[in-house]
Amino acid sequence: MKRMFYPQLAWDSIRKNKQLYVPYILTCIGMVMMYNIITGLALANTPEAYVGGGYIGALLGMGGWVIALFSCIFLFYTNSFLMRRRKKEFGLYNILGMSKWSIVKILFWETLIISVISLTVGLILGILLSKLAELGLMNIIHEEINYRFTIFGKSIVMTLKIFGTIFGLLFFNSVIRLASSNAITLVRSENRGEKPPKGNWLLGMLGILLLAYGYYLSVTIKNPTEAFNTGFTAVLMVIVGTYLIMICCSVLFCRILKRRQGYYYKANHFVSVSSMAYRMKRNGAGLASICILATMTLVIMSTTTCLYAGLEDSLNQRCPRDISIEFGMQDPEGMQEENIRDLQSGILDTIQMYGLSPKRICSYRYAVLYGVLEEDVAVTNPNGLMGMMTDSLGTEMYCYCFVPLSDYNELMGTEETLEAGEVLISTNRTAYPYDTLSFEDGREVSVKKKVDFIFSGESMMSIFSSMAVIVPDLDAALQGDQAIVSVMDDSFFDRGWFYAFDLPADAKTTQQVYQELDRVFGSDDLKSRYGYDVVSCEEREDLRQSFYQITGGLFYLGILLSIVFLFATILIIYYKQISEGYEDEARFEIMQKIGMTKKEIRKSINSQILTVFFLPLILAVVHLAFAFPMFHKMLMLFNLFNIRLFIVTTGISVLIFAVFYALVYRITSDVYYKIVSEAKQ
Amino acid sequence: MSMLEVNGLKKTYVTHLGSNKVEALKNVNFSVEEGEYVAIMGESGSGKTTLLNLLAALDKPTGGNVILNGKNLFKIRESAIAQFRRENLGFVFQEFNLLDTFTLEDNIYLPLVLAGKSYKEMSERLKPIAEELAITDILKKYPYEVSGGQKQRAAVARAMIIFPKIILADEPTGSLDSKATDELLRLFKEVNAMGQTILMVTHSVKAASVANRVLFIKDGEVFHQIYRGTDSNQQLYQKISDTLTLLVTGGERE
Repeated sequence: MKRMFYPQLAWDSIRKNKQLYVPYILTCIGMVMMYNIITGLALANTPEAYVGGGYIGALLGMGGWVIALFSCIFLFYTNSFLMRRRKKEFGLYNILGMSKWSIVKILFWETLIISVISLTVGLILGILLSKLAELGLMNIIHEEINYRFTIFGKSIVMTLKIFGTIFGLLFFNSVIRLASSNAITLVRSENRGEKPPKGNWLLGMLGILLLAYGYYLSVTIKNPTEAFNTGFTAVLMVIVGTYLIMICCSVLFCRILKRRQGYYYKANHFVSVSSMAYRMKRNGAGLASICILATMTLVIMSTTTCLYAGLEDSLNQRCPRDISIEFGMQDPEGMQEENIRDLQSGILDTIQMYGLSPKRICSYRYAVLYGVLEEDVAVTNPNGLMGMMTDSLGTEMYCYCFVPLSDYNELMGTEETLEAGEVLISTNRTAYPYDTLSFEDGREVSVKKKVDFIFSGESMMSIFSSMAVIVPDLDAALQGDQAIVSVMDDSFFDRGWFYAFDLPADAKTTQQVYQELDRVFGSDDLKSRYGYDVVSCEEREDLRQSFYQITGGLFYLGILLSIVFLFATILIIYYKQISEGYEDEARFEIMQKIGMTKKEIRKSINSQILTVFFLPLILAVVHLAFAFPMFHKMLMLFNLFNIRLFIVTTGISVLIFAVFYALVYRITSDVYYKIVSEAKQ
Repeated sequence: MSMLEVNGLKKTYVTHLGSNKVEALKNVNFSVEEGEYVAIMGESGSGKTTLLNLLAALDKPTGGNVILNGKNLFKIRESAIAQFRRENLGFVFQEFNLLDTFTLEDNIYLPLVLAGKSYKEMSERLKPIAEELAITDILKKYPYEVSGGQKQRAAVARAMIIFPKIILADEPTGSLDSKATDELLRLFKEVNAMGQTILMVTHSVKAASVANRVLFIKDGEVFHQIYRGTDSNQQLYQKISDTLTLLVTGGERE
């Protein structure tokens, strides 16, 4: 009986403080659930599971850490509010003869009960929902995800670890708070006027610096691979910066407003400014959390929608015709027109077996070199492609694709002419503004014209920007005394022939032709006969399917996460406003006694809630604007270059979010007003 | 004509289910002249608070009326009542009712800010009042930083700054120690000497003994009143004590 005393007492006090603990426990459950789902999905989405799984897994893993960090901060925030309300009760226990040690025991049991409830319910819901998420995902991408039982085990262990730590920290935090106060201050703590926060300039400045640096990183990211590495740093900086700014700068801002007498001493600013200043310290963390959540939701909504909507675009970039076949040739001899003609007739023969002939043929020879562009000088890396990848990570990398004029004219149906020392240039991402182009150690050539080009195949490796350099003669441009580029070793060039075409046939026949081509030209016999080293054959329908798997999956996950985040945001705001309403009850009662009309109270409440509500949303939109270049670069990995589409999806996401947000605002402000105005009646 | 007239004031509370009626005020009549300092005494449950709430127009009576400066309080439209309150009535409460989000200065300005006064005008008004109440040095502090006595003086300043027709004080010394109580009562006396009308509800004999007239309420009616006349505080204190003893031991009405 005695042994059950403390657990019983702990359970009773949780039950008696229902209105405080129910939202708290709900929040805990929500956090556990979210974390569990996200880690589970992160673990299930591996590169082994399906193509592109690694990227999704990494993205979700990052989200998992953000959620863990967020949970920690938010639960601390909520818990400190709870403790504030409970201190009186603990003081009473203390005065009635219960030692602090016993109170610690009660706290321990309370924490234990709450964590057991949150973890159990959260994990069950998490598993159920991730099962649902998994089913939905499989439905969309027609792919078996590696969702084995071990993953549930792993994600549960991870969740237990993270949240066990958080609950432990919360408990110790409460104990420290309890230890540092005596019975009398405990009893009176709730009534004691809280010191209005002094804005900390140093932390505020640090916050601004971190935010600015995070923004700077995002805006200056040059290529998609960098976007992933630097992007993580940028995201962390912006998160920490947001917290510091919300907590410190908002107080400072209010203090500045207070100094402006003409502004401050106006009926509609007076009450709201001072109470904003007063509550910012405690609310700052909550507002920052809302802001981060909103940003995350918006980013997820806009990028995944963009990917899904731009799927056909990226497909066309990757594979402009029904079937494409690309031959990589190390030996320049293979690039001779005769050989290419032989190869082409070999392909035509294969197609002819099905009684078909190719349409809209797209054919060109190329030699590719990788490097960076410094104004009008192309600098190539002496260590080739691999050297580039390690040395030039922070810069915009270029893929220079040399194409003979004859192939170009045939491809584009043009009749361009070039003198020696002249080139045509086409770029796929950024415009090339100069009239000349020179390669390191090579001859300067003049740019006769900037033209269009069908970028595809090898030259379209999406982490690079591409520049097509149309030369009068490929061999002459690359070798000999007239060469416009000189490299130490000829093997730096990736040479090849790209051939793509449409087939006037049904999907099944196209598939058969594609498989036949793949089989025929994959043979070693033909490789040595035509002098090519590698061949890659792609069929658009086939590719489309795998594109749908990746982007469809992402889109699905994006929706899922957006919903979860949206509800989390709502729960936080709602809970925050309610608890603030109870705190403000007494304040508004005093104001009413002194002669504030109901209308004035309503006005002041509105301006307060409006700020509390829309400050995070505005900051989130600013975050989103600065994150835009970074995510745009990331999208390039998916061959998605349509910036207008991204702008549109981002705009729509913001709109949807804002509408939903405004709705919650309406509901919340009504509830808040009811609490505050009922105080008197 | 008196500054404040209370005629046949009646307030009946109906319990939640409507079965029980509680008469908080049965029939209260009295008047307060301009410049008077009146204390209202009574035990807990005698109807003091109800009376004050009615005088402050915070509540509606069941019957009777209150006329302040020739205006019937209960005929004022609901929407104008708050404005009327902040232009005519100054409040001092037992629990000070200062807002912890404001400095003392801003707390004092609150009613004027609501009335749309400029900072310049407000600070000019405050200067003499703050000096009178000896709070000039602590105006920039927050309520949590100052003592109870200082808080109550700030609350008095907040009541005075609107130049009210009447100051309504509800147990103003209830939360103060004896030194702060003496100080506050001395201030009330001085403020009254300058012509300010004060109506104070209290059950402290000491507080009441500073007033010019003391009204006793029992069971929802004015039971008795004592005029100071030429009495000293001490003599009035004695008279009040005697009356209270009579009240408790069940003396007949006069």
